[in-house]
Amino acid sequence: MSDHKSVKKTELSRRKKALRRTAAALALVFFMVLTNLYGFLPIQALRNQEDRSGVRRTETLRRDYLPQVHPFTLFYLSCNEDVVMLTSMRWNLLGGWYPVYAPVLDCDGSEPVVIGEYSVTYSDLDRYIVYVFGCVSDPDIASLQLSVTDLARDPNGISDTCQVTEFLEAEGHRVFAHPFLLSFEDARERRIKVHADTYRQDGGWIRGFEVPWSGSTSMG
Amino acid sequence: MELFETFCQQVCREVRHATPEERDSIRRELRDHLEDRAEALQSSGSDEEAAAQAAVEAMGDPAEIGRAMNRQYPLGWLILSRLSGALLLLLCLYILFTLPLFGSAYNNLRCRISPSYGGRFMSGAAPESVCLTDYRWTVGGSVLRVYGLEPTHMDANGDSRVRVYLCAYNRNPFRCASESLVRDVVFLDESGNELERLYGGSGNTGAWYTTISFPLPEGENGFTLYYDSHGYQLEEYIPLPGEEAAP
Repeated sequence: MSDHKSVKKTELSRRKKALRRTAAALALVFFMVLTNLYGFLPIQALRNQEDRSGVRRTETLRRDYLPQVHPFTLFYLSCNEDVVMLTSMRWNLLGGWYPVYAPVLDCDGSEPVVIGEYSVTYSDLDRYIVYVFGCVSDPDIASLQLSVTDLARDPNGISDTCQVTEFLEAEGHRVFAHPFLLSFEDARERRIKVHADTYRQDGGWIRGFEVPWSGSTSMG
Repeated sequence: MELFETFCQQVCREVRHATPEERDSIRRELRDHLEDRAEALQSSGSDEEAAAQAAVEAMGDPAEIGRAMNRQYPLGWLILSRLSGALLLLLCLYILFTLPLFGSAYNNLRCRISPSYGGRFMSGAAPESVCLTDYRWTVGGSVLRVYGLEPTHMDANGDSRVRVYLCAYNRNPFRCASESLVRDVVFLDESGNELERLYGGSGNTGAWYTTISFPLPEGENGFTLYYDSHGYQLEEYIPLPGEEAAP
């Protein structure tokens, strides 16, 4: 009888010890999240970037993981009623997920279409990302044709194109993002130009314009 | 006694899920139990060796006892305890080594309580010519603060200008302050003409600081601070110290 009791006591102490330690570890994790000490999740990096950019809470529309470019980088496309934001974030062991940069486009409906270009380079690679993103407010615009040209290589030739016909809908906006993955023999020589053409439902051309540069980041 | 020790070892060999400390405790408890029983038998007339033998035999098969005890030592809780212990240690070490990161929270608190007046971030006290003010506007999660005005700041050419000291901090000391608040602010005169605009500040994620100076048009005793960025608008008239509140 006393053996049974002592064994039961051991079992209880084992469980109690495990639960106490787990609770303490969870409390520390909670503390680290609360004090922004470690980015356990990419969404924390997004929230930090929202604070830093001075925008209201955004809704995530799309996450891009491009392992062929970098294994620890994510791109979040998010928007609220006023802006569209493309956040690049990285992970490292010591800091967790942290935001690198986020171009923000004001999307208040005053322009029929707002588009930005965000370039990301990696110093140890010859690959290069040109992210084209934005929002369409004009209901007449049914599709977009995006084209990227490297003027250093061929001023008249188009390096890559993309037809955007499907949009992500949120907060009353039609939002899109497309990453162009480009390779260069010498990325330092590049001179990128992004052009956008807008089309009606019947395929009629509305207008074309050069996409303004919204920022660039070197991801080390 | 060697007989008891052998018995205890045979039992403990089967209790595989127990830690060395738990095995020691089992061994101690079994030995005490056997000794009590042997003593009882000795007091009823048995000799020492026979009493010990009888006590061991009364316990039953040591392997069977060991297997039964092993079931009472669940491995899952032990693994969880060890893993969470290791995690706890790791997190404590991490927090210890990242204590300097709390500097951001310190800067945030300093910005809201006692901001810097120096030309460089976090240095210097308020010069005598600075009038301490405390205008604060909440813009989203961050707060823009005008904490000093120098109505007669002389520039390099000897012209009189108004100098404004601003800082921005997040309402939560552990979160990032909006950089936009020290970058997208425009200063207007009473007719709505742009006097000057901010282009950024210095600091870290806890707080951003900046100062700016501009000449006021003749006869004007204040200026308007205007901010319109990413869905937030702010338009506030700031009178020079000692002047009327609004034009």
